[in-house]
Amino acid sequence: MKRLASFLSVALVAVFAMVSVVPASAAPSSTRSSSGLSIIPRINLQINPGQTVTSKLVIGNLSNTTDLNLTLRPIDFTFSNDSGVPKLFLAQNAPQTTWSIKPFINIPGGIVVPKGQTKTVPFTLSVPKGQGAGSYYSAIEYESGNSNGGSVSLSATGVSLVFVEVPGIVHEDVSLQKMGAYQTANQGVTGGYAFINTIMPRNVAFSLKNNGNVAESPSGTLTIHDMWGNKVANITNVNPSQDLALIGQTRLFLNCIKSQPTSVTLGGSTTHSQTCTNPHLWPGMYTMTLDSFYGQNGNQTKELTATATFWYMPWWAIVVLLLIVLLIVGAILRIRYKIRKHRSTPHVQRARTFRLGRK
Amino acid sequence: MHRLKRLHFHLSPHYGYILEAITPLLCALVFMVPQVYAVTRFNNRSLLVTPPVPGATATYTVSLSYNTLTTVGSMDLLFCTDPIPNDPCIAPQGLNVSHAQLTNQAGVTGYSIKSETSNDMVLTRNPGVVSDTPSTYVFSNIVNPTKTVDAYFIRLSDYASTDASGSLIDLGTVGSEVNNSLIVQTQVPPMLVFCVAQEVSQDCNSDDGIYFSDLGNLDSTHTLTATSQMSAGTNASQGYVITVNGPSMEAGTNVITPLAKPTASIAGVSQFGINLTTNTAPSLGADPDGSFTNAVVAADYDHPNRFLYQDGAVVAGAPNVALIRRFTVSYIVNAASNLRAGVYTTTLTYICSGRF
Repeated sequence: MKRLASFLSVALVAVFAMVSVVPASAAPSSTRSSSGLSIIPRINLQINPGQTVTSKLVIGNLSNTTDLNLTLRPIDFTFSNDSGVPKLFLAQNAPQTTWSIKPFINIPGGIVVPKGQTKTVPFTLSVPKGQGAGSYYSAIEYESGNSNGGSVSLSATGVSLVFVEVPGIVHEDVSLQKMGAYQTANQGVTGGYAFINTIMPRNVAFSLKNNGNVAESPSGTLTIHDMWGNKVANITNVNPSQDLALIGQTRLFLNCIKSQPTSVTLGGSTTHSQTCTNPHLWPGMYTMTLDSFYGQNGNQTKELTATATFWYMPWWAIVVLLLIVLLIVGAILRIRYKIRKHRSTPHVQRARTFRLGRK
Repeated sequence: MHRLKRLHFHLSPHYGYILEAITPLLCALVFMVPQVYAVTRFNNRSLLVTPPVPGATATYTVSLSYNTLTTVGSMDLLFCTDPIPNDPCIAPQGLNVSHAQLTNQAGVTGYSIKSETSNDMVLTRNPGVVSDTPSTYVFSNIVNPTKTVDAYFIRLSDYASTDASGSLIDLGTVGSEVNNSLIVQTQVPPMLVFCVAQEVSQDCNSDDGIYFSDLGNLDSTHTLTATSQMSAGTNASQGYVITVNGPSMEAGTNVITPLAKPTASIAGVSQFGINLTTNTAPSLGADPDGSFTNAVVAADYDHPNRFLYQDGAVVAGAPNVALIRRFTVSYIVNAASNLRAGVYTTTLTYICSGRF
């Protein structure tokens, strides 16, 4: 009996010891899926109230060895800041936004894309008959689900942004907040407006606040003149990428003063874009004039016009200007000194005495 | 000579004033802004295109109110990709108004089509004084542009003459754009590619099949490290952004403190952090590789030997078109001496999305 009790005690201790000495890592799961995917990053649709539209998701499996298992779900988003970065509401119980398309959308919960293949997945959007006009948007999340095991498990997720415009009379109200030269080292990821630029500005920008109920994509032109009235830049399309100012957002629209066209091909699709080049500005003051339009189909076309100035004064120009001012001041002082000296010489004094004598 | 000297004598106390007088003049010259002349514009302008489908034959409804109430004999409707009246007009690709018909008009009426080209239409009427009554003109049989990328505009202007010649009275612009409601399979839209694993190829065609990192046993004297990789690229003009999502390393309610700002790795202090650059202390990680250098690491995650972790933070991205670029993520974990025993794990989800 004592032996049995002793044996049981040892066994219990052994079990307890095994439980308490836990490894820092766990054996990984054998579930494997490709993690390389290609998706459409943005989908724009226009759907009338009462209409159902069938659209398609094009999903590619980049792996040639493993199938791609994806879980699909709609998630809401808004803006993060003044850029085009979406702030995704990932929590399962996240409150629905007022512009959400979750009530309209019907997508499959999961798909499998065989290795090396592309799959087209249809989905539907049904806008109710009495739905108000405006912009509605959410994202579709594609989760690959390779998150099993290890201290740090990794999971890859892609997101497509879906924008639905319900036509009709909408409330559009966009106001200009700021405009001018914009200094940025990474094409607007970080940066700020600058009135006096000691580094040659390659970009100009304007910020628009959207107070309406529809996402706005303004268009228009921007011209830049130097202080002698010469046109140094004519930006004929201030929003070539059709960037959006979401509902409630103050959005930055960045433009190159001078640019050259480029084209990029990926997966059979070619995109044309612009890259900034050296604008070769001379030091001085510049005036930029914005003439921008926005307005949904069937609504008033609204126009925003504004003028702003900025200076380009590199340090060498400031030094040259200071030298010129010093030279002028020096010349003036030298003239005054010479005049004083001339007045204090004897022949001037004799002339004064003569004049006094005559009186 | 004496007069000259007297002039110098009288002026000498005033040199300062002369300078003060000249300076504002110089400033005025420098600060002079080119004048922008004002032109009256039509009020309450709008355009309805039905349907706004690329290449479709559509009905255009132009609405406006006249601003200058004077004799008007004609109106010009010039279709361009640029809304500015004095700029050269480039016709929208695919647009054709040469067979347009004026099917309805309201408000100021009496117009008929005098002439049409592929992107220009002149309306004529018996010259008469216009009112500011809201006016609408409906045109059928207009072929929409075929290019969906750019907006397009109608530059409106009216004239006293009957053939749109001479001085214009009012002008204004209305705009629209066409878009595809359905994705046509024969067209290839812009794509976004993305992959994550312990090691991935730059083009995302292959990876090592390992989607976890084993950091090892935690103790207060050593820093645990690991790396993973991800590649991303897009030819969408808005670019992409990558965020990291998930909690810090935790075992039940015990959490290893995520670093809130870029901080050096210190053994014996509870720390969890990542960065996406080359480090020497500890030695791990790598800078991004790939030809498109406009895809960059977020500033906070780009400091060598400094780590942080914020759930939902942007770690990398590109503001516009950027083909494949590979990023290496470095992880560090340090444990305090009083860290409770347990299995500390986390699941980090890297989300790559397009930008708007």
